[in-house]
Amino acid sequence: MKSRWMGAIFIAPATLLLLIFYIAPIFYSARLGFYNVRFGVLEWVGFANFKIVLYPGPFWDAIRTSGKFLCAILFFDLVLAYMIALGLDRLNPRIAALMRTCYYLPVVLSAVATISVWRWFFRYGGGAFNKILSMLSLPLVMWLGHPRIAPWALCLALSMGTIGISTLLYSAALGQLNVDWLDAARIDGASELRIIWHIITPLIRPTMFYIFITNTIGAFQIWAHPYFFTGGGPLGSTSTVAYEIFNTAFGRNDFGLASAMTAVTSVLTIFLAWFFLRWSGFGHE
Amino acid sequence: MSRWVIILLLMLVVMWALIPPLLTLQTSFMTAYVFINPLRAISRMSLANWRYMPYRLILKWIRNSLFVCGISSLLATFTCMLAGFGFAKYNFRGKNVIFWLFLVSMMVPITVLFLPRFLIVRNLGMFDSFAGMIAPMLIYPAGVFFARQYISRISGELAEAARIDGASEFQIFRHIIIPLTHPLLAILILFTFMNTWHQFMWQFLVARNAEIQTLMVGLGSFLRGLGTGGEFAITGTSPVSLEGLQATASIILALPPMLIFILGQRYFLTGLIMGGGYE
Repeated sequence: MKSRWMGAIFIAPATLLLLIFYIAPIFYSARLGFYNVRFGVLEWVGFANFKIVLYPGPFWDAIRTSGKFLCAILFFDLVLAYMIALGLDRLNPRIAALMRTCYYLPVVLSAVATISVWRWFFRYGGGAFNKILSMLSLPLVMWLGHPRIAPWALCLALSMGTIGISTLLYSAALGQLNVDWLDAARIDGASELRIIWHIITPLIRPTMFYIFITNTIGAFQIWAHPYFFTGGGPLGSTSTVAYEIFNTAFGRNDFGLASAMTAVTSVLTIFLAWFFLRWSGFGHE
Repeated sequence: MSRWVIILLLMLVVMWALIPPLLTLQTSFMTAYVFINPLRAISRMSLANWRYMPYRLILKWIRNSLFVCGISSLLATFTCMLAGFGFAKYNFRGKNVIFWLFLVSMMVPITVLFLPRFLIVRNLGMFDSFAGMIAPMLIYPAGVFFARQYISRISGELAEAARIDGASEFQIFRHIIIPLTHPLLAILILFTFMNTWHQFMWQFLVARNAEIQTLMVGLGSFLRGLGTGGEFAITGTSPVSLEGLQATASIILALPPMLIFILGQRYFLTGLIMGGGYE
């Protein structure tokens, strides 16, 4: 059929660019992973770089740190944004629209725009958060100086990063619900919590799935916050996968090791993408 | 009663969202005293930071940025639309594998692709030129994903009717799909524009010539030069603060994307609503 070819023609420009600027670099990195690249000289080292990556060490820690960021982001975007949208749904639509715009504002700003303010929030002496703690006579916290606290402090700084988008998506999904079902449940005496949990949540599962995928992807892309706030420290506790690779390549000039990390990350990503496609049933529609 | 509790909680989130940008704005007007009580700060505000900015350079950087971001945003939107349409409305061999490649590309941490990309762009003879700054920005995998979601929600009946009347596939794309997807166009333009506008590392690596630097890279080098000597280094007599200048630079950097967002706000909200669900 003619339309078979047309589909391929429509995706051709994007696919060509993708091959040049994404797929080729991924393969190129995989090859560089077998070399020691110092000062532009290639030296074949076999699997040495991959051994460093696969044995427990900084890269594993980076995956764990990215996991922490993922948990926090899923809490913000999957849970908190849902609660915000449920709340907005019960307000005057014009007030709700205004609030949604406010939530969206941080999405438009870049991560670096408000960085000096956040640094001040986190400062140990005289910082905003510690001022509040001392007013409540609570012990002060080393927000960016303690390896157990720093990753979660950065999570606070990126909390509003995408809540604006997620809230909009949830609001849209809630707006399309069939009101009759909710009314029927209310007449039968179901509590609001039961309605939210047993009727609304199953109905908006497609939106949740979309938010889950896009935010999982976003979590593994985080590098600007470690780069600008902590430089990956203290003790590597805020070094995410993206930042660890970036720092190995451009900070320590070890392109071979960074390439091996890229290759391993790419393989993990390929499995994750495959899993998402199976789970969503893409291709069976 | 419980309504007021909801409003109170939601207002707290509004504050959480707005305080950092507002404090950044305030800091841009502060000279020596950074971060004091906003009420006390008003009497100490000055335009010194704003006067200190190198506006002739900034105008040049803005011109470069608008050129790079404008072209890449328009062309990337076009490639995303075409690909989204192809994935949403056609079946062909290898479709799932290719779509999966897009998903993988969306997920790979972007920072790691800079080095091999840099070598590829240099081999294509595009180092230190607008072409090299723009070329990798012409493809935005997340935009393809989003466009596919959006277009697959449009009913195929109109397209089928046009096909029976003898319209070509390109005519269907041009005269049926495009008019139905204005919110999608708006949102792709915003996302691709912001993606390029906030792109620091790539533009920093590929543009060495000061004449073609973007605003983000230019402001970055200006801020770095403040502490380490050079044309704009802060001297003892300058009535400015480093934090204040950083804040001023942040605000200048944030203005164009915010302007685009405000102008197209109506479309973005509809666009997000249509694209964000998994069918």
